Amino acid sequence: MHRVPNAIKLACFLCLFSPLAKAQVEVPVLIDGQSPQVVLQEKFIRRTSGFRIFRFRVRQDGSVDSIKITSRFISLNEEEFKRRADSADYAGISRFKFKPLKKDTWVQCKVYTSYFNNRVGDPWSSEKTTEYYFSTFNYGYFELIKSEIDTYFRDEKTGKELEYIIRNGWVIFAPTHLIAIT
Amino acid sequence: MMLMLLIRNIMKTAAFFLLLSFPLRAQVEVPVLINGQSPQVVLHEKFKHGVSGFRIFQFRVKQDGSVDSIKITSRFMARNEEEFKRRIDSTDSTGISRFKFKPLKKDIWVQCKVYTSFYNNRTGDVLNYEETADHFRTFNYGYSELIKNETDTYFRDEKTGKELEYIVRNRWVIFAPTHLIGTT
Repeated sequence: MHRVPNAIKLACFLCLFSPLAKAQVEVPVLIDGQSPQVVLQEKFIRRTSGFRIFRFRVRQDGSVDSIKITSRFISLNEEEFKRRADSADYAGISRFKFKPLKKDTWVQCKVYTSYFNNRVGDPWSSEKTTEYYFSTFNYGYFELIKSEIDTYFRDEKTGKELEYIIRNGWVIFAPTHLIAIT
Repeated sequence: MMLMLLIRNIMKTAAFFLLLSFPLRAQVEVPVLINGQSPQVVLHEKFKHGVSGFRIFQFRVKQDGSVDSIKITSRFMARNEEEFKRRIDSTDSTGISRFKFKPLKKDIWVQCKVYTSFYNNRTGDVLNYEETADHFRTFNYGYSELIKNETDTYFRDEKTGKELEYIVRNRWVIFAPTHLIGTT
């Protein structure tokens, strides 16, 4: 009979509490295979600069509950704008249908939006040119997102950008930036 | 017999990597200034500029406690932002380069982040920031919400739920962001 060395037993014990164990958190995917972050960025468009943080729970059966939205819009009539946008976003998220999971999972998505006031009349200007001309109209989300991604969403070994991380049992999607002109 | 050997080899390899990785992570030292203060606290309390915005400071603390490779990313909500930014970044860079930390076992990379919300106080009440902020909501850029979210997401102890002063990420010491609130 082989005797398993104590060091190996210890290693196995540590394994259970290591990042490998954390990898067991399932990442919710919508029924059509899309990530919620992509859908919130591409389909939940609000025409003003700001940011929106969406937190919700995806239940085992793929439905959503416990939705919490933290948003900010750089707009004169912000209160009214926010009320309408949050309400529409809330209704949209509550209709999300995910693939079934082994257990309930908490999710966070974050979308920043920069709308530039295009006074050059050229709708085809590159983002960079628009940003350059209207730099005083941008609220620094470029820098905030870049810093957030570089700080929290880089693979330690490869340096590649991660689509999400698992933190305290939550699936945290990397923030994205919607850029447009009005 | 072969299967037992294979399993044993796999476990040995796992043990080797685990023993290698755990101590390495724990070895990242957190730089402390000579006077015992954290750089985040000093940047928050002593590097003040009277305009809303944010500043992200990245630098390397060398073994001997000196600082180099300073990189500042900043944004100020001001009309003449370019000029403002040039002056502030330059002042901050000079200040940081004078930092003197306690000696370390090896060079360490650090990130600090300070958000600033300056409210245009039209009530004449200099004492009640919260109320002033409430009156002048349209002048705030949502940094309170961003910081709360960043702290809750990345700087909470998994077991106790307590707020962490810093985390170690990819061998960088990342201090939790802070928010300087004032009135003009």
